[in-house]
Amino acid sequence: MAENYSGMGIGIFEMDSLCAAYVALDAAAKAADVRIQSVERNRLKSGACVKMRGRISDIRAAMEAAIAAGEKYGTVTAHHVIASPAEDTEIAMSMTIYK
Amino acid sequence: MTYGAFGLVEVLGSANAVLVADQMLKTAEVEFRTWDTRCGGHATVFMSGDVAAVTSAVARVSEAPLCEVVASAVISNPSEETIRLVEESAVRNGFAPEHT
Repeated sequence: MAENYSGMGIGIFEMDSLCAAYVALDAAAKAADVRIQSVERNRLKSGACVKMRGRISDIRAAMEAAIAAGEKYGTVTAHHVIASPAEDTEIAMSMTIYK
Repeated sequence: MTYGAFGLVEVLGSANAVLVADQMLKTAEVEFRTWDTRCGGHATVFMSGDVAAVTSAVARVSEAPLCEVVASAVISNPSEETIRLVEESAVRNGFAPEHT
């Protein structure tokens, strides 16, 4: 969206159920001060990919909380933390939002 | 806007989503926030209300289902990020006026 996230750390995880993704992102947002850039559906059953931005320490704490909370409702198919993304990674992150 | 809790119910297809939303609205003091029917034929309905109402509505749907309920979850005391995402989804789907 219009928000400028360039330079912030990236926490990105993908789950096979949208309910689990929302429970996970809520736990993440409560655990640390992270901004949720977007929730995008994918074709994993009824899954979604959640993109979190913020300082790297917050992202790590949020990711742990997200996985712990999300696993009760669905399976985490992938989760990654990128400390300092390259310039063009921003384009990759924002181009698939609400396509 | 702050909400007591969000109730998420995931069913197959929009017709079932309307059915489940109607059943929840009749069961307890909840409001329909938005839904997400974009991918894979699964539709997820978002309801809001206080924790007790949302929990009873979601429990009613999963115990006496009128259609196949894929998944359901209750998020109590949602954080600002979750509320922002749900409200943006409501605006995008046209369930809420632009200015909220």
